[in-house]
Amino acid sequence: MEKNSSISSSRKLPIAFISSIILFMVTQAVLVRTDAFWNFCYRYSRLPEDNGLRLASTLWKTAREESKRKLFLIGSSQTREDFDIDYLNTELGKTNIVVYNLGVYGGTPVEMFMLKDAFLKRKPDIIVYVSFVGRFYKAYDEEDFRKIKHYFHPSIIPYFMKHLSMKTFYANRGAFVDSFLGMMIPISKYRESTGRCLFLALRRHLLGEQIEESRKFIYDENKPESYFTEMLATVDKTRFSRTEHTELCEELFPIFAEYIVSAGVKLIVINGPSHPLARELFGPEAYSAYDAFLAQKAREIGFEYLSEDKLPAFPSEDFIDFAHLNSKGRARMSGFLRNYLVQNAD
Amino acid sequence: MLFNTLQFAVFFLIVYCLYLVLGHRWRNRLLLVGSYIFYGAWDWRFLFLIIASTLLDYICGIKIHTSNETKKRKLFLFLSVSINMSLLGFFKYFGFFAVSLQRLLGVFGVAVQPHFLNIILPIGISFYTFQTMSYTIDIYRRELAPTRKLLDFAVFVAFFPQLVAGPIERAKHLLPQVLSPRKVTLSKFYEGAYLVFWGLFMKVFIADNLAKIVDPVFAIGSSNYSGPVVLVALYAFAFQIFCDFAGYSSIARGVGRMMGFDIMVNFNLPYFATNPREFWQRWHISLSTWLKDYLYISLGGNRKSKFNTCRNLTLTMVLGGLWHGAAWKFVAWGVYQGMLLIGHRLAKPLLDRFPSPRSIVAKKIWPILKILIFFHFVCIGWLLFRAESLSQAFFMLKSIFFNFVSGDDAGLKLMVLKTVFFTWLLILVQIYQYRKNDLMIMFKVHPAIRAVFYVICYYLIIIYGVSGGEEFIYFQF
Repeated sequence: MEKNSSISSSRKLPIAFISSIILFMVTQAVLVRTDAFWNFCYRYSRLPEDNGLRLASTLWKTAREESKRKLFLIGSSQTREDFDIDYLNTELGKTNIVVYNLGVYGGTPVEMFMLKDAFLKRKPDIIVYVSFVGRFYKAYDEEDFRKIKHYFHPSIIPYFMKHLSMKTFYANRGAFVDSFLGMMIPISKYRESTGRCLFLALRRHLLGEQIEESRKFIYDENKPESYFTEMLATVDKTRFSRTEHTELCEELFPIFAEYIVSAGVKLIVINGPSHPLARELFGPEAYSAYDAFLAQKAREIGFEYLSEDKLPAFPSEDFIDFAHLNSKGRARMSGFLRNYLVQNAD
Repeated sequence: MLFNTLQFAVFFLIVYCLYLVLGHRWRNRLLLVGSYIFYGAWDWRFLFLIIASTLLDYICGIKIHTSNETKKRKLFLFLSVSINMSLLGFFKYFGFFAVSLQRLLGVFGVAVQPHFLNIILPIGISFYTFQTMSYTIDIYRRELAPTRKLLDFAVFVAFFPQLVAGPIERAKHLLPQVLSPRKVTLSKFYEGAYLVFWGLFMKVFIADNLAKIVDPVFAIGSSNYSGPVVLVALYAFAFQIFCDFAGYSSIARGVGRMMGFDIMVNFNLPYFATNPREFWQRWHISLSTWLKDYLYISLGGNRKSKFNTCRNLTLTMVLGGLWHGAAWKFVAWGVYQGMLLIGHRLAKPLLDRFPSPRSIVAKKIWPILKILIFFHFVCIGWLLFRAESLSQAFFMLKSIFFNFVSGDDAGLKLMVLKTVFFTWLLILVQIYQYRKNDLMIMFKVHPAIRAVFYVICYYLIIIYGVSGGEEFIYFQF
């Protein structure tokens, strides 16, 4: 080998390099197994931008609870927004139930399918899945693919290959590279959120800023009726139609539900409340087809299904948009779930 | 194809694997094809331009060398320089001069509507035209013999690691490396890999994150920033532009090194300079030495009167400024750099008479103070360079000197925190490099320290690295 006088210790580089790789892998493997790390993430993560990290840190917390029966609220942002978690914990705490809100952006059967093992690993007693019609009838977009790394499990690949076109795969290749990287380097899954958390902590400790607790939901406004009629007139209604993603959801949802039910966990599926005008947005056919699909699967698999007609009536003033409730609606929905669980938790 | 993308990683992996198994002749063929693919990935149409420039200088080089008549030699040199400069002028400066002329005539009441060509600037044109011109000028000066191997000469012109943003290599340095068989060794590979790694770190962790602090302050319309905000943004930009450009150069050197090439050092701790002369010996060395060798010295250098020296310095720096871009702010930046150099040259006898500090503490502090003071002079230059217009630059400068009151303390503190966060590791590494007078010192430290250093870099890149394949600033030049 040619001797290069400009490098005095080049032969040692592999030692440093290999040790650095080992050290990096070991430190992060240790880090993601510590309470300190996840408590830090829970303390400093913010909704909605850190949704993925929030879910992971909440899931980590659930493992520490062993004395009470655990109830997981899962699903999309609708789940996150439609329940008053403090109220539910106060009320259901009397019946020895502790509730965790694990609603995340997206939260379609695709995400639920990938997360099913992570849920069961935390030994829940009851899972309440709020399913949203809009997510069944909206194609997976760039934003959805970008966030897939937070929940990625390789078992999804055959289903993606079956339902999605090569063009979709190629267009979102970065998301898949990130997802596989996230399997090897767990910290990379939440890189943006971890970065934000670190800055928030630095602001608190170095700049002495007051950092408030993270909000448990985002939306809390009252919108007049006219807001919805105007929205309906301007919104692109073609966004919601039967797509390759609908077929994917229809295949994955029963697999997910069966998996949960066969593990002995009580599964309650709720057709999430939507604004009275939402039927015009998503299409009445989509609504009835979706409702019939869930009802049929409930009969076949054996989970409890609460269609919209079993929920209380939600007037327009309960909504912030077509799919999310405000504080009024949240109180109504939480009260309903509390009553339902008190009567049916066993 | 940007260095900081997956596309380049795949491209380089393929090229490198083939490169390792091929012999010398085929290696150069591979490099030429690879370089043209690399360049064509931006816009294949501009490949014709680079091929034309290659053929022109190849022929001119041989003609200059074989002619014994001075007239003929001058004619072919003139052909080479004028055609290269015309290409550069046409693509880069046509719009600028047309608008400037229109405005000038407008002052005298003459309204003209120049015909704008609306052509995009071929990427890297400023770099490769300067590189090829150095070839013909060196042959004219009888400092270099031309090559008869067109393929090898084409590799010299289009060598992909340094094609689009330098370093601007000299034919005397790079061409012999292209012509002779290169040995790829493990030590060169390690050294190259380290340079690529450090360059990527500077780009994706430091430069791209600092851009998020800098860009909103310099955005058009954001004229209500206070002095402290502008100053912090300016510090951030100083590090951003350094890490962006030095990062690119480091990757270029690393990629070259892995293939057995030795590409010149383009940045040598420029912010440790204590005067403008030293700064230009450390900053964008390949351009500053080019300007010195082919422009400043050709103009007469410092051989005649003080006035002539000052004129030559100003002209060189103005043209150096204009090389960066077709805008008056770059001309102003060039004038400012020229003034700094002249000021230093004139004040040097006076400064030399200044008594040196005697106490041990003063001896330690004085060099640091000199570095810090001159760094601020550099930063004022960066204000002209980064501002969207000259008026914005003057407004911001005024804010620093006459509006040094922060309205938003929390926002300012956060800016400072972020700037420090994204630069602390670089500053520590550079202080160590400076103290040891060795740019590769982090590559030579004890393996345990190196391992920890790498791990810190991995974490910072993984968590904060900007992965969108942000373009390098110097691509626009």
